[in-house]
Amino acid sequence: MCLPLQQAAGQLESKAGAIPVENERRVAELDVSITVFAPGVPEDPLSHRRLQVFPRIREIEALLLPFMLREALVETNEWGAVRVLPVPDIAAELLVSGVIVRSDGEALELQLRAVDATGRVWLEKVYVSVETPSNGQSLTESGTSGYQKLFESIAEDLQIARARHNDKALADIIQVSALRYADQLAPSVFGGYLNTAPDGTLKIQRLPAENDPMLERIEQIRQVEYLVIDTVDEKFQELHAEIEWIYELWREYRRQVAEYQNDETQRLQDTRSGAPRGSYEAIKRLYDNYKWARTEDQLRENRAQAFDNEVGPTVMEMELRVAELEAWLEQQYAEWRGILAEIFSLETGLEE
Amino acid sequence: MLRSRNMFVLCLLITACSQQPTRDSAIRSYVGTEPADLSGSWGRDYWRGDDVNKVLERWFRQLRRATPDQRLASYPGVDNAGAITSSRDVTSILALARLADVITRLRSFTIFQSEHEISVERDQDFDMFCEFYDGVSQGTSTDFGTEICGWDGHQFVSRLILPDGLLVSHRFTIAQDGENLHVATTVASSATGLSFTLNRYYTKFEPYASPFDCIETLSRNRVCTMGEDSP
Repeated sequence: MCLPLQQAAGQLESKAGAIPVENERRVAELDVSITVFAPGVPEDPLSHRRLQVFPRIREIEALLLPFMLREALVETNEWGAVRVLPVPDIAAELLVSGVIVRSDGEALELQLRAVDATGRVWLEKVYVSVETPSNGQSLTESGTSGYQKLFESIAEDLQIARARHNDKALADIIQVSALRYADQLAPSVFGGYLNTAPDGTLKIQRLPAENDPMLERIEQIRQVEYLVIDTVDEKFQELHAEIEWIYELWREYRRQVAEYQNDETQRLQDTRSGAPRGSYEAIKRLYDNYKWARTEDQLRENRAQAFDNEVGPTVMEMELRVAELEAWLEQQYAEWRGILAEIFSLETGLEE
Repeated sequence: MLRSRNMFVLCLLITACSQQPTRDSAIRSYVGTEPADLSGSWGRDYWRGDDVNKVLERWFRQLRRATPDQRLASYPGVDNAGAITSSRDVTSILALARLADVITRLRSFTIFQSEHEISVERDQDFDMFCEFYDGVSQGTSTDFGTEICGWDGHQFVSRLILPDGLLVSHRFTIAQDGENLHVATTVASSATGLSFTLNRYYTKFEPYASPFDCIETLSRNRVCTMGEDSP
Protein backbone atom coordinates (compact mmCIF):
# COMPACT_ATOMS: atom_id res chain seq x y z
CA MET A 1 0.00 0.00 0.00
CA CYS A 2 1.50 3.34 -1.03
CA LEU A 3 1.47 6.32 1.16
CA PRO A 4 -0.88 8.73 -0.57
CA LEU A 5 1.85 11.26 -0.17
CA GLN A 6 4.32 9.33 -2.33
CA GLN A 7 1.96 9.55 -5.24
CA ALA A 8 1.60 13.24 -4.65
CA ALA A 9 5.35 13.62 -4.30
CA GLY A 10 5.85 11.75 -7.56
CA GLN A 11 3.45 14.02 -9.33
CA LEU A 12 5.12 17.07 -7.87
CA GLU A 13 8.44 15.99 -9.30
CA SER A 14 7.02 15.41 -12.74
CA LYS A 15 4.76 18.42 -12.79
CA ALA A 16 6.64 21.16 -11.09
CA GLY A 17 4.40 23.88 -9.68
CA ALA A 18 1.23 21.89 -10.20
CA ILE A 19 -0.68 20.76 -7.13
CA PRO A 20 -2.47 17.51 -7.94
CA VAL A 21 -6.05 17.13 -6.90
CA GLU A 22 -6.83 13.49 -6.39
CA ASN A 23 -9.11 11.29 -4.49
CA GLU A 24 -6.60 11.56 -1.69
CA ARG A 25 -6.19 14.94 -0.16
CA ARG A 26 -3.99 17.72 -1.48
CA VAL A 27 -0.60 18.10 0.13
CA ALA A 28 -1.70 21.40 1.68
CA GLU A 29 -4.61 19.75 3.44
CA LEU A 30 -2.77 18.71 6.52
CA ASP A 31 -4.63 16.75 9.16
CA VAL A 32 -5.04 18.86 12.26
CA SER A 33 -5.19 17.40 15.76
CA ILE A 34 -6.53 19.69 18.45
CA THR A 35 -5.97 18.57 21.98
CA VAL A 36 -8.34 19.36 24.79
CA PHE A 37 -7.24 22.71 26.19
CA ALA A 38 -5.58 23.08 29.54
CA PRO A 39 -8.15 24.66 31.89
CA GLY A 40 -5.63 27.19 33.19
CA VAL A 41 -6.94 26.95 36.73
CA PRO A 42 -4.44 28.61 39.09
CA GLU A 43 -2.72 26.15 41.38
CA ASP A 44 -3.45 28.15 44.47
CA PRO A 45 -7.09 27.36 45.37
CA LEU A 46 -7.23 30.47 47.54
CA SER A 47 -6.95 32.65 44.43
CA HIS A 48 -9.97 31.16 42.66
CA ARG A 49 -12.56 33.39 44.30
CA ARG A 50 -10.52 36.54 43.83
CA LEU A 51 -9.97 35.77 40.14
CA GLN A 52 -13.54 34.51 39.68
CA VAL A 53 -12.33 31.17 38.39
CA PHE A 54 -14.77 28.28 38.63
CA PRO A 55 -12.57 25.20 38.17
CA ARG A 56 -15.31 22.81 37.10
CA ILE A 57 -16.58 25.23 34.46
CA ARG A 58 -13.07 25.76 33.18
CA GLU A 59 -12.72 21.99 32.77
CA ILE A 60 -15.93 21.94 30.75
CA GLU A 61 -14.75 24.88 28.65
CA ALA A 62 -11.49 23.02 28.03
CA LEU A 63 -13.59 20.33 26.33
CA LEU A 64 -15.96 22.68 24.48
CA LEU A 65 -13.65 25.37 23.15
CA PRO A 66 -11.38 23.03 21.11
CA PHE A 67 -14.48 21.82 19.35
CA MET A 68 -15.40 25.40 18.44
CA LEU A 69 -11.94 25.79 16.93
CA ARG A 70 -12.45 22.54 15.08
CA GLU A 71 -15.66 23.84 13.59
CA ALA A 72 -13.95 27.04 12.49
CA LEU A 73 -11.18 25.06 10.75
CA VAL A 74 -13.59 22.65 9.08
CA GLU A 75 -15.63 25.61 7.88
CA THR A 76 -12.65 26.92 5.89
CA ASN A 77 -12.46 23.69 3.89
CA GLU A 78 -8.72 24.17 3.78
CA TRP A 79 -7.55 21.29 5.92
CA GLY A 80 -7.65 17.50 5.94
CA ALA A 81 -9.22 15.69 8.84
CA VAL A 82 -9.61 17.95 11.89
CA ARG A 83 -9.98 16.04 15.12
CA VAL A 84 -10.25 16.84 18.81
CA LEU A 85 -8.16 14.54 20.98
CA PRO A 86 -8.07 14.04 24.73
CA VAL A 87 -4.26 13.72 24.74
CA PRO A 88 -1.59 15.17 22.42
CA ASP A 89 -0.56 13.09 19.42
CA ILE A 90 3.12 13.80 18.87
CA ALA A 91 2.93 12.21 15.44
CA ALA A 92 0.16 14.59 14.36
CA GLU A 93 0.76 16.45 11.12
CA LEU A 94 -0.29 19.67 12.81
CA LEU A 95 -0.89 19.66 16.54
CA VAL A 96 -2.80 22.53 18.11
CA SER A 97 -2.86 22.95 21.87
CA GLY A 98 -4.10 25.72 24.10
CA VAL A 99 -4.42 27.06 27.61
CA ILE A 100 -7.42 29.00 28.84
CA VAL A 101 -5.86 32.01 30.49
CA ARG A 102 -9.08 33.87 31.22
CA SER A 103 -12.77 33.19 30.70
CA ASP A 104 -15.10 35.24 32.83
CA GLY A 105 -17.92 36.40 30.61
CA GLU A 106 -16.20 39.67 29.87
CA ALA A 107 -13.38 38.17 27.87
CA LEU A 108 -11.86 34.93 26.66
CA GLU A 109 -8.08 34.78 26.62
CA LEU A 110 -6.54 31.76 24.97
CA GLN A 111 -2.85 30.94 24.74
CA LEU A 112 -2.47 28.90 21.59
CA ARG A 113 0.36 26.85 20.11
CA ALA A 114 0.52 25.03 16.79
CA VAL A 115 3.40 22.69 15.99
CA ASP A 116 3.85 20.51 12.94
CA ALA A 117 5.19 16.95 12.94
CA THR A 118 8.75 18.14 12.31
CA GLY A 119 8.61 20.16 15.52
CA ARG A 120 8.44 23.54 13.81
CA VAL A 121 6.24 26.02 15.65
CA TRP A 122 3.62 27.60 13.40
CA LEU A 123 1.84 29.69 16.00
CA GLU A 124 2.50 30.73 19.56
CA LYS A 125 0.19 33.53 20.48
CA VAL A 126 -2.39 34.75 22.96
CA TYR A 127 -5.80 35.43 21.49
CA VAL A 128 -8.26 37.65 23.30
CA SER A 129 -11.90 38.26 22.63
CA VAL A 130 -13.95 40.81 24.49
CA GLU A 131 -17.61 39.96 24.80
CA THR A 132 -19.95 42.59 23.46
CA PRO A 133 -23.31 41.89 21.84
CA SER A 134 -23.72 43.32 18.38
CA ASN A 135 -26.31 46.07 18.00
CA GLY A 136 -27.62 45.56 21.50
CA GLN A 137 -28.65 41.97 20.84
CA SER A 138 -27.73 39.26 23.28
CA LEU A 139 -25.03 36.84 22.27
CA THR A 140 -27.55 34.06 21.76
CA GLU A 141 -29.53 36.21 19.36
CA SER A 142 -26.77 37.83 17.35
CA GLY A 143 -25.36 34.54 16.10
CA THR A 144 -21.85 35.88 15.81
CA SER A 145 -20.20 35.96 19.18
CA GLY A 146 -16.77 37.24 20.03
CA TYR A 147 -15.69 33.64 20.57
CA GLN A 148 -16.51 32.72 16.97
CA LYS A 149 -14.45 35.65 15.72
CA LEU A 150 -11.57 34.54 17.91
CA PHE A 151 -11.57 31.05 16.40
CA GLU A 152 -11.91 32.43 12.89
CA SER A 153 -8.88 34.56 13.63
CA ILE A 154 -6.94 31.48 14.69
CA ALA A 155 -8.00 29.65 11.52
CA GLU A 156 -6.82 32.59 9.46
CA ASP A 157 -3.47 32.71 11.22
CA LEU A 158 -2.96 29.00 10.65
CA GLN A 159 -3.60 29.47 6.96
CA ILE A 160 -1.12 32.34 6.86
CA ALA A 161 1.44 30.17 8.64
CA ARG A 162 0.82 27.36 6.16
CA ALA A 163 1.31 29.70 3.24
CA ARG A 164 4.89 30.19 4.42
CA HIS A 165 5.56 26.52 3.60
CA ASN A 166 5.98 25.33 0.04
CA ASP A 167 4.54 22.06 -1.18
CA LYS A 168 7.79 20.22 -0.54
CA ALA A 169 7.84 21.35 3.05
CA LEU A 170 4.21 20.32 3.53
CA ALA A 171 4.89 16.96 1.92
CA ASP A 172 7.81 16.50 4.31
CA ILE A 173 5.53 17.21 7.25
CA ILE A 174 3.17 14.46 6.16
CA GLN A 175 6.09 12.08 5.66
CA VAL A 176 7.61 12.90 9.04
CA SER A 177 4.23 12.41 10.69
CA ALA A 178 3.96 8.92 9.20
CA LEU A 179 7.52 8.06 10.16
CA ARG A 180 7.11 9.33 13.72
CA TYR A 181 4.03 7.20 14.10
CA ALA A 182 5.89 4.21 12.69
CA ASP A 183 8.78 4.89 15.04
CA GLN A 184 6.41 4.85 18.02
CA LEU A 185 5.04 1.47 17.06
CA ALA A 186 8.17 -0.21 15.77
CA PRO A 187 11.22 1.74 16.92
CA SER A 188 13.64 -0.98 15.97
CA VAL A 189 12.45 -0.85 12.37
CA PHE A 190 11.89 2.86 11.88
CA GLY A 191 14.18 4.36 14.45
CA GLY A 192 16.76 5.53 11.95
CA TYR A 193 14.62 7.29 9.39
CA LEU A 194 14.54 10.66 11.15
CA ASN A 195 17.21 12.73 12.75
CA THR A 196 17.11 15.90 14.75
CA ALA A 197 18.52 19.03 13.18
CA PRO A 198 20.46 21.61 15.24
CA ASP A 199 17.34 23.75 15.45
CA GLY A 200 15.49 20.87 17.13
CA THR A 201 13.30 20.03 14.17
CA LEU A 202 13.10 16.58 12.64
CA LYS A 203 14.52 15.89 9.22
CA ILE A 204 14.01 12.88 7.01
CA GLN A 205 17.23 10.95 6.78
CA ARG A 206 15.92 8.21 4.52
CA LEU A 207 12.61 6.88 3.31
CA PRO A 208 11.34 3.31 3.50
CA ALA A 209 10.69 1.39 0.31
CA GLU A 210 7.38 2.07 -1.33
CA ASN A 211 6.18 -1.48 -0.81
CA ASP A 212 7.67 -2.01 2.64
CA PRO A 213 5.30 -4.55 4.25
CA MET A 214 6.01 -3.25 7.76
CA LEU A 215 5.01 0.22 6.66
CA GLU A 216 1.81 -1.16 5.19
CA ARG A 217 0.96 -2.85 8.47
CA ILE A 218 1.61 0.36 10.36
CA GLU A 219 -0.56 2.30 7.98
CA GLN A 220 -3.37 -0.18 8.57
CA ILE A 221 -2.93 0.17 12.33
CA ARG A 222 -3.02 3.93 11.99
CA GLN A 223 -6.29 3.71 10.11
CA VAL A 224 -7.73 1.63 12.96
CA GLU A 225 -6.48 4.21 15.41
CA TYR A 226 -8.07 6.96 13.36
CA LEU A 227 -11.37 5.09 13.61
CA VAL A 228 -11.09 5.14 17.38
CA ILE A 229 -10.01 8.78 17.39
CA ASP A 230 -12.93 9.64 15.14
CA THR A 231 -15.23 7.95 17.63
CA VAL A 232 -13.70 10.07 20.39
CA ASP A 233 -14.11 13.13 18.20
CA GLU A 234 -17.78 12.21 17.77
CA LYS A 235 -18.13 12.21 21.54
CA PHE A 236 -16.87 15.79 21.59
CA GLN A 237 -19.36 16.63 18.85
CA GLU A 238 -22.20 15.10 20.81
CA LEU A 239 -21.16 16.93 23.94
CA HIS A 240 -21.05 20.19 22.08
CA ALA A 241 -24.47 19.59 20.53
CA GLU A 242 -26.01 18.80 23.91
CA ILE A 243 -24.61 21.53 26.07
CA GLU A 244 -23.67 24.33 23.72
CA TRP A 245 -26.91 26.25 24.30
CA ILE A 246 -26.54 26.00 28.07
CA TYR A 247 -22.96 27.19 27.80
CA GLU A 248 -24.11 30.16 25.71
CA LEU A 249 -26.68 30.89 28.40
CA TRP A 250 -23.92 30.85 31.02
CA ARG A 251 -21.72 33.14 28.96
CA GLU A 252 -24.54 35.59 28.42
CA TYR A 253 -25.35 35.53 32.12
CA ARG A 254 -21.74 36.24 33.04
CA ARG A 255 -21.47 39.03 30.55
CA GLN A 256 -24.63 40.71 31.84
CA VAL A 257 -23.59 40.26 35.45
CA ALA A 258 -20.15 41.69 34.78
CA GLU A 259 -21.70 44.70 33.06
CA TYR A 260 -24.24 45.24 35.85
CA GLN A 261 -21.68 44.84 38.62
CA ASN A 262 -19.23 47.22 37.03
CA ASP A 263 -21.94 49.86 36.65
CA GLU A 264 -23.35 49.33 40.13
CA THR A 265 -19.95 49.29 41.81
CA GLN A 266 -19.08 52.55 40.10
CA ARG A 267 -22.40 54.05 41.14
CA LEU A 268 -22.03 53.01 44.77
CA GLN A 269 -18.49 54.27 44.95
CA ASP A 270 -19.42 57.58 43.40
CA THR A 271 -22.51 58.13 45.52
CA ARG A 272 -21.70 59.39 48.97
CA SER A 273 -24.22 59.22 51.75
CA GLY A 274 -25.47 62.64 52.90
CA ALA A 275 -25.50 61.46 56.50
CA PRO A 276 -22.74 62.66 58.85
CA ARG A 277 -19.71 60.44 59.08
CA GLY A 278 -20.00 58.00 61.96
CA SER A 279 -23.78 58.25 62.10
CA TYR A 280 -25.95 55.14 61.94
CA GLU A 281 -27.08 55.92 58.40
CA ALA A 282 -23.48 56.33 57.24
CA ILE A 283 -22.14 53.12 58.80
CA LYS A 284 -25.23 51.17 57.77
CA ARG A 285 -24.60 52.24 54.19
CA LEU A 286 -21.01 51.00 54.39
CA TYR A 287 -22.24 47.64 55.66
CA ASP A 288 -25.01 47.42 53.07
CA ASN A 289 -22.60 48.16 50.21
CA TYR A 290 -20.41 45.29 51.26
CA LYS A 291 -23.44 43.08 51.77
CA TRP A 292 -24.60 43.84 48.21
CA ALA A 293 -21.18 42.98 46.74
CA ARG A 294 -20.95 39.71 48.65
CA THR A 295 -24.50 38.74 47.79
CA GLU A 296 -23.71 39.28 44.11
CA ASP A 297 -20.64 37.07 44.46
CA GLN A 298 -22.74 34.37 46.07
CA LEU A 299 -25.32 34.57 43.34
CA ARG A 300 -22.63 34.13 40.73
CA GLU A 301 -21.28 31.08 42.54
CA ASN A 302 -24.78 29.64 42.78
CA ARG A 303 -25.24 30.12 39.05
CA ALA A 304 -21.92 28.40 38.38
CA GLN A 305 -23.07 25.49 40.47
CA ALA A 306 -26.38 25.52 38.59
CA PHE A 307 -24.49 25.30 35.31
CA ASP A 308 -22.50 22.36 36.57
CA ASN A 309 -25.67 20.69 37.90
CA GLU A 310 -27.19 20.92 34.46
CA VAL A 311 -24.30 19.83 32.27
CA GLY A 312 -22.24 17.84 34.75
CA PRO A 313 -23.88 14.46 34.19
CA THR A 314 -23.53 14.77 30.39
CA VAL A 315 -19.91 15.78 30.65
CA MET A 316 -19.12 13.03 33.10
CA GLU A 317 -20.71 10.41 30.85
CA MET A 318 -18.72 11.67 27.91
CA GLU A 319 -15.48 11.72 29.89
CA LEU A 320 -16.08 8.15 31.02
CA ARG A 321 -16.68 6.97 27.47
CA VAL A 322 -13.59 8.77 26.20
CA ALA A 323 -11.54 7.28 29.01
CA GLU A 324 -12.79 3.81 28.04
CA LEU A 325 -11.78 4.36 24.43
CA GLU A 326 -8.40 5.70 25.46
CA ALA A 327 -7.76 2.76 27.73
CA TRP A 328 -8.69 0.36 24.95
CA LEU A 329 -6.38 2.17 22.54
CA GLU A 330 -3.50 2.10 24.96
CA GLN A 331 -3.95 -1.59 25.48
CA GLN A 332 -4.08 -2.15 21.73
CA TYR A 333 -0.95 -0.08 21.29
CA ALA A 334 0.99 -2.35 23.57
CA GLU A 335 -0.32 -5.40 21.74
CA TRP A 336 0.49 -3.96 18.34
CA ARG A 337 4.01 -3.09 19.38
CA GLY A 338 4.55 -6.59 20.61
CA ILE A 339 3.14 -8.15 17.44
CA LEU A 340 5.15 -5.91 15.15
CA ALA A 341 8.35 -6.63 17.04
CA GLU A 342 7.68 -10.36 16.70
CA ILE A 343 6.98 -10.07 12.99
CA PHE A 344 10.16 -8.04 12.50
CA SER A 345 12.13 -10.65 14.31
CA LEU A 346 10.64 -13.44 12.21
CA GLU A 347 11.09 -11.62 8.92
CA THR A 348 14.62 -10.45 9.46
CA GLY A 349 16.00 -12.99 11.88
CA LEU A 350 17.08 -10.05 14.02
CA GLU A 351 16.01 -9.70 17.66
CA GLU A 352 14.65 -6.29 18.72
CA MET B 1 -36.02 50.34 70.63
CA LEU B 2 -33.51 52.91 71.71
CA ARG B 3 -34.10 55.44 74.43
CA SER B 4 -34.34 59.06 73.57
CA ARG B 5 -31.19 60.83 72.71
CA ASN B 6 -31.39 63.16 75.72
CA MET B 7 -30.83 60.29 78.13
CA PHE B 8 -27.73 59.15 76.35
CA VAL B 9 -26.18 62.57 76.16
CA LEU B 10 -25.47 62.06 79.88
CA CYS B 11 -24.14 58.56 79.38
CA LEU B 12 -20.58 57.53 79.31
CA LEU B 13 -20.50 54.01 78.09
CA ILE B 14 -18.56 51.07 79.26
CA THR B 15 -18.40 47.75 77.57
CA ALA B 16 -21.22 45.39 78.39
CA CYS B 17 -19.02 42.42 78.29
CA SER B 18 -15.93 43.12 80.24
CA GLN B 19 -14.99 39.47 79.74
CA GLN B 20 -14.73 39.90 75.96
CA PRO B 21 -11.76 41.67 74.44
CA THR B 22 -12.76 44.65 72.41
CA ARG B 23 -9.97 44.14 69.96
CA ASP B 24 -10.25 40.69 68.41
CA SER B 25 -7.05 39.19 67.19
CA ALA B 26 -7.65 36.31 64.81
CA ILE B 27 -4.79 34.10 63.83
CA ARG B 28 -4.61 33.31 60.16
CA SER B 29 -3.10 29.90 60.46
CA TYR B 30 -3.21 26.79 62.56
CA VAL B 31 -1.49 23.48 62.58
CA GLY B 32 -3.25 20.14 62.53
CA THR B 33 -6.99 19.49 62.42
CA GLU B 34 -9.50 22.27 62.84
CA PRO B 35 -9.84 23.23 66.50
CA ALA B 36 -13.63 22.88 66.79
CA ASP B 37 -16.61 21.67 64.81
CA LEU B 38 -19.21 24.39 64.48
CA SER B 39 -21.27 22.73 61.77
CA GLY B 40 -25.02 22.50 62.08
CA SER B 41 -28.16 24.56 62.18
CA TRP B 42 -28.33 27.02 65.07
CA GLY B 43 -31.45 28.69 66.47
CA ARG B 44 -31.41 31.76 68.69
CA ASP B 45 -31.82 31.22 72.39
CA TYR B 46 -33.79 34.30 73.43
CA TRP B 47 -33.50 33.47 77.12
CA ARG B 48 -29.85 34.23 77.03
CA GLY B 49 -27.78 36.88 75.40
CA ASP B 50 -27.71 40.65 75.46
CA ASP B 51 -30.56 42.99 74.90
CA VAL B 52 -29.13 46.12 73.35
CA ASN B 53 -31.30 48.44 75.48
CA LYS B 54 -30.23 46.75 78.68
CA VAL B 55 -26.60 46.94 77.70
CA LEU B 56 -26.94 50.65 77.11
CA GLU B 57 -28.90 51.09 80.34
CA ARG B 58 -26.13 49.34 82.23
CA TRP B 59 -23.67 51.76 80.79
CA PHE B 60 -25.89 54.66 81.73
CA ARG B 61 -26.20 53.43 85.34
CA GLN B 62 -22.43 53.06 85.73
CA LEU B 63 -21.98 56.47 84.29
CA ARG B 64 -24.43 58.00 86.79
CA ARG B 65 -22.60 56.31 89.70
CA ALA B 66 -19.28 57.76 88.62
CA THR B 67 -18.20 60.87 90.54
CA PRO B 68 -16.97 63.83 88.52
CA ASP B 69 -13.38 63.45 89.63
CA GLN B 70 -13.28 59.70 89.01
CA ARG B 71 -11.73 58.74 85.75
CA LEU B 72 -13.29 55.93 83.87
CA ALA B 73 -9.85 54.68 83.14
CA SER B 74 -9.56 53.49 86.71
CA TYR B 75 -12.31 50.92 86.15
CA PRO B 76 -10.61 47.64 85.34
CA GLY B 77 -11.76 45.77 82.26
CA VAL B 78 -13.69 48.76 81.02
CA ASP B 79 -13.78 49.35 77.32
CA ASN B 80 -13.86 52.75 75.76
CA ALA B 81 -12.29 53.95 78.99
CA GLY B 82 -11.71 57.60 78.72
CA ALA B 83 -12.74 57.51 75.07
CA ILE B 84 -16.15 59.11 75.45
CA THR B 85 -15.53 62.78 75.60
CA SER B 86 -18.30 64.42 73.63
CA SER B 87 -21.86 64.11 72.41
CA ARG B 88 -20.47 63.15 69.05
CA ASP B 89 -18.87 60.12 70.66
CA VAL B 90 -22.21 59.27 72.22
CA THR B 91 -23.83 59.49 68.80
CA SER B 92 -21.13 57.23 67.48
CA ILE B 93 -21.57 54.57 70.14
CA LEU B 94 -25.31 54.64 69.64
CA ALA B 95 -24.78 54.10 65.94
CA LEU B 96 -22.44 51.20 66.63
CA ALA B 97 -24.93 49.69 69.06
CA ARG B 98 -27.76 50.02 66.59
CA LEU B 99 -25.76 48.41 63.80
CA ALA B 100 -24.68 45.57 66.10
CA ASP B 101 -28.31 44.98 66.97
CA VAL B 102 -29.40 44.92 63.32
CA ILE B 103 -26.61 42.56 62.32
CA THR B 104 -27.35 40.12 65.13
CA ARG B 105 -31.11 39.91 64.68
CA LEU B 106 -30.79 36.50 63.06
CA ARG B 107 -33.20 33.90 64.29
CA SER B 108 -31.09 31.12 62.90
CA PHE B 109 -28.18 30.33 60.65
CA THR B 110 -26.42 27.24 59.33
CA ILE B 111 -22.73 26.55 59.49
CA PHE B 112 -21.12 24.25 56.96
CA GLN B 113 -17.64 23.17 57.88
CA SER B 114 -15.16 20.96 56.11
CA GLU B 115 -11.43 20.55 56.15
CA HIS B 116 -11.04 23.48 53.78
CA GLU B 117 -14.00 25.76 54.38
CA ILE B 118 -16.27 27.27 56.93
CA SER B 119 -19.42 28.91 55.68
CA VAL B 120 -21.99 30.64 57.87
CA GLU B 121 -25.19 30.91 55.87
CA ARG B 122 -27.43 33.64 57.19
CA ASP B 123 -30.90 34.57 56.12
CA GLN B 124 -31.22 38.15 54.83
CA ASP B 125 -27.47 38.64 55.02
CA PHE B 126 -24.39 37.51 53.13
CA ASP B 127 -22.69 34.24 54.00
CA MET B 128 -19.53 34.50 56.03
CA PHE B 129 -16.95 32.40 54.25
CA CYS B 130 -13.48 31.24 55.19
CA GLU B 131 -11.16 28.96 53.28
CA PHE B 132 -8.29 26.97 54.71
CA TYR B 133 -5.45 25.41 52.79
CA ASP B 134 -2.33 24.09 54.41
CA GLY B 135 -3.48 25.66 57.62
CA VAL B 136 -3.60 29.18 56.19
CA SER B 137 -6.99 30.86 56.21
CA GLN B 138 -8.40 33.32 53.74
CA GLY B 139 -11.60 35.33 53.74
CA THR B 140 -13.02 37.34 50.90
CA SER B 141 -12.46 40.77 49.48
CA THR B 142 -14.57 43.15 47.42
CA ASP B 143 -14.34 46.78 46.38
CA PHE B 144 -16.35 47.63 49.49
CA GLY B 145 -14.45 45.78 52.19
CA THR B 146 -12.41 42.80 53.24
CA GLU B 147 -13.19 39.84 55.43
CA ILE B 148 -10.41 38.11 57.27
CA CYS B 149 -10.94 35.02 59.35
CA GLY B 150 -9.28 32.29 61.29
CA TRP B 151 -9.06 30.36 64.51
CA ASP B 152 -8.12 31.95 67.81
CA GLY B 153 -7.58 28.86 69.91
CA HIS B 154 -10.92 27.08 69.81
CA GLN B 155 -12.81 30.16 68.73
CA PHE B 156 -13.59 30.96 65.14
CA VAL B 157 -13.28 34.66 64.34
CA SER B 158 -14.49 36.54 61.31
CA ARG B 159 -13.58 40.20 60.93
CA LEU B 160 -15.05 42.55 58.38
CA ILE B 161 -12.95 45.62 57.61
CA LEU B 162 -15.01 48.37 56.00
CA PRO B 163 -14.14 51.89 54.85
CA ASP B 164 -13.91 54.82 57.26
CA GLY B 165 -12.37 52.58 59.89
CA LEU B 166 -15.49 50.54 60.56
CA LEU B 167 -14.91 47.01 61.85
CA VAL B 168 -17.40 44.22 62.45
CA SER B 169 -16.19 41.06 64.05
CA HIS B 170 -17.91 37.85 65.14
CA ARG B 171 -16.35 35.43 67.57
CA PHE B 172 -17.87 31.94 67.64
CA THR B 173 -17.40 29.74 70.68
CA ILE B 174 -18.98 26.31 70.92
CA ALA B 175 -19.83 24.80 74.28
CA GLN B 176 -18.21 21.55 75.32
CA ASP B 177 -21.44 19.64 74.80
CA GLY B 178 -21.48 20.84 71.19
CA GLU B 179 -25.14 21.87 71.48
CA ASN B 180 -24.74 25.53 72.32
CA LEU B 181 -22.96 28.30 70.51
CA HIS B 182 -21.98 31.72 71.73
CA VAL B 183 -21.42 34.52 69.24
CA ALA B 184 -19.90 37.80 70.34
CA THR B 185 -20.38 40.50 67.74
CA THR B 186 -18.34 43.66 68.05
CA VAL B 187 -18.85 46.74 65.95
CA ALA B 188 -15.99 49.17 66.29
CA SER B 189 -14.76 52.37 64.77
CA SER B 190 -11.04 52.91 64.57
CA ALA B 191 -11.76 56.53 63.74
CA THR B 192 -13.24 57.18 67.18
CA GLY B 193 -11.68 54.31 69.10
CA LEU B 194 -15.13 53.19 70.23
CA SER B 195 -16.67 49.74 70.12
CA PHE B 196 -19.86 47.97 71.10
CA THR B 197 -20.31 44.25 71.71
CA LEU B 198 -23.44 42.16 71.79
CA ASN B 199 -23.51 38.54 72.89
CA ARG B 200 -25.95 36.06 71.40
CA TYR B 201 -26.53 32.42 72.18
CA TYR B 202 -27.73 29.72 69.87
CA THR B 203 -28.87 26.13 70.27
CA LYS B 204 -28.38 23.41 67.75
CA PHE B 205 -31.49 22.04 66.05
CA GLU B 206 -32.38 19.63 63.28
CA PRO B 207 -33.88 21.46 60.34
CA TYR B 208 -37.05 20.24 58.75
CA ALA B 209 -36.32 17.54 56.18
CA SER B 210 -38.08 18.41 52.97
CA PRO B 211 -39.56 15.52 51.00
CA PHE B 212 -38.17 17.10 47.85
CA ASP B 213 -34.69 16.93 46.41
CA CYS B 214 -34.04 20.18 44.64
CA ILE B 215 -31.14 21.42 42.58
CA GLU B 216 -30.58 24.70 40.85
CA THR B 217 -30.12 24.67 37.11
CA LEU B 218 -29.29 27.45 34.73
CA SER B 219 -32.03 26.99 32.16
CA ARG B 220 -34.89 25.80 34.38
CA ASN B 221 -33.97 27.43 37.68
CA ARG B 222 -34.95 25.16 40.56
CA VAL B 223 -35.77 21.59 39.66
CA CYS B 224 -37.24 19.36 42.34
CA THR B 225 -37.91 15.68 42.46
CA MET B 226 -39.52 13.56 45.12
CA GLY B 227 -36.94 12.21 47.52
CA GLU B 228 -36.26 8.49 47.74
CA ASP B 229 -37.94 8.15 51.12
CA SER B 230 -41.11 9.94 50.20
CA PRO B 231 -44.31 7.90 49.60
